[in-house]
Amino acid sequence: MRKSKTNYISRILVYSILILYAIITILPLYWIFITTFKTPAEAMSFPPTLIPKSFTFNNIIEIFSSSKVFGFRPFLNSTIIALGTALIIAVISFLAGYGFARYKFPGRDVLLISMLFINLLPTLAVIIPIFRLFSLYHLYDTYIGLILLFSFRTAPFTSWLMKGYIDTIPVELEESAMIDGCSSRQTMSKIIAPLAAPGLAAVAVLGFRAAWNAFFAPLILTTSEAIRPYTIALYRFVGEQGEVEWRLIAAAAFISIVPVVVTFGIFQKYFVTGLTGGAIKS
Amino acid sequence: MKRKPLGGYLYITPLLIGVILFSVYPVIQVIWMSFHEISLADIRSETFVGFRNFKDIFAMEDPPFISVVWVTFAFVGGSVLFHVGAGLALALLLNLGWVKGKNFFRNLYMLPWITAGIMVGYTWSFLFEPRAGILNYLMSLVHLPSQSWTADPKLALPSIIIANIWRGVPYSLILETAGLQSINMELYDAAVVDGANPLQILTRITLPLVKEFILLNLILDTGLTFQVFDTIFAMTAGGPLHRTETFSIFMYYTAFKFGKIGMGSAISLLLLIFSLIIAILYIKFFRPGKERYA
Repeated sequence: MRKSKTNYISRILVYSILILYAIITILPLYWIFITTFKTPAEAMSFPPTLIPKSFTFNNIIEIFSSSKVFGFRPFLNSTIIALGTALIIAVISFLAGYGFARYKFPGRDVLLISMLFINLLPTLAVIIPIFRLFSLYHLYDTYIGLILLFSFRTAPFTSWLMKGYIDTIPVELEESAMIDGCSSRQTMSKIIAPLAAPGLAAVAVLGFRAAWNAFFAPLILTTSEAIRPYTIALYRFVGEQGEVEWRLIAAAAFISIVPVVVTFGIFQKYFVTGLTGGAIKS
Repeated sequence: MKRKPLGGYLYITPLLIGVILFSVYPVIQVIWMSFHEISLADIRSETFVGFRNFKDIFAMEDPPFISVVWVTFAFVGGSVLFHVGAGLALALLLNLGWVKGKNFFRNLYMLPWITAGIMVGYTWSFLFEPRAGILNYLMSLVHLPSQSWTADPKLALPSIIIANIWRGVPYSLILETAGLQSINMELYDAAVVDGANPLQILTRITLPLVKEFILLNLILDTGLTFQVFDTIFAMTAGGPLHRTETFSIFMYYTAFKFGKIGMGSAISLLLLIFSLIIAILYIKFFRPGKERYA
């Protein structure tokens, strides 16, 4: 590390910029956070109060009571879809990453480059044929349809990530396990999978985030309340309201942000190494 | 250890099947469908119409095609410029040896990126809200007139760009941080020993080395920003007067509001061609497996 005689003024300047951007980042979220716990009267008052005078859980309760807003179901739907995606994406990416990292086979390099290519094709641009495909093959308005879509649209990227991860695990470890009499399945589950766990966590979190935050695909591919994720439920709720009730939108936003923040918080270490590792290598 | 090539194929089979079903097949279909007239009401039947869908796109009047192109490019250009600029600046500052609390700042800055795009849209709608919003309140403190922001034809586009800048800076920050961390620290030490000042270190060592990552960042972020839908949809839904109608919104309305699936496919194809150019640039400059793969 450098030992420079950085003077006092430039230190203050650097910290000021970092803190200013921290405020810019946090202020909109802080605003959502405090509005979530404001009474209806205070939420609509002018001038707005930056330090809330009232405190209530009613907005959150209203969101979850289906008679008033949209209830618990959309959050349950999103949870099922996001966890399903995380699981499938972890399995597929692990297998593909292992295949790409440990085997040399004809067409391997072409396939690897193709995966990068496909990763850059926007879901937006292929949603119409997918809509048609889903309508024809009974995947429209189903959990499994959305899970498969999210998994396989993200898998080309996450497989790359896993390949990069498995590349860093010495192949000698597998070889000595084999010599000691482990079957290839045992080697996979006892040696490789535990060592690749940080990569797997990063990949699963990425899948979870993609599915939990998705709006465009479920807007087109779902219709019933039994399947609809919270993003769509909120959008419909806002559309049905005459007067926009910001305290309820804020509460819904708050509830939806908590799970991703918690997941990222728990896996943050793995996630950053996993993602930046992939970014450098890809 | 000898491994049979067949094993490799077995491991990647699930990925390949999925990619064929959810990426390759839809791309072929979208090309096919863009030359057909298909209505949303009867999705199964199609009539071949040649290039008519494309002619219809270019001949459109409400909004004119040129307006969609302009709005998209202004949105992408404005967003990407600030994403990369701010992302790089913050990454550089957080790479300074003496800065404390790096992880705290990095994690905090990530928050907009892990928030759902639709929620970013609603959050900013709320800030921009003319009556109860905090922005007009702050303006009133310094005696500036209230604005209707997202409802104002002149201010709507800047408003959605501001929201999208906020959302996208963390992505650039991650990429640029990865870039900076890949620079060998010995270079810095050598420069310091040779008596270089911080500005010289920045312009002679850091920036030339990180140039490649700036380019990577520009390419990837352009691709991502081009397809932003949710934030815009939540804030303005393309209005007022089509002033925020980007390609993505335009495609959605054509296909799923007006039910012209064929024409929507033609717009998708234009989007695909654009993405393809982005992808080719990306692979040309950053083809993995070369020297940087070490």
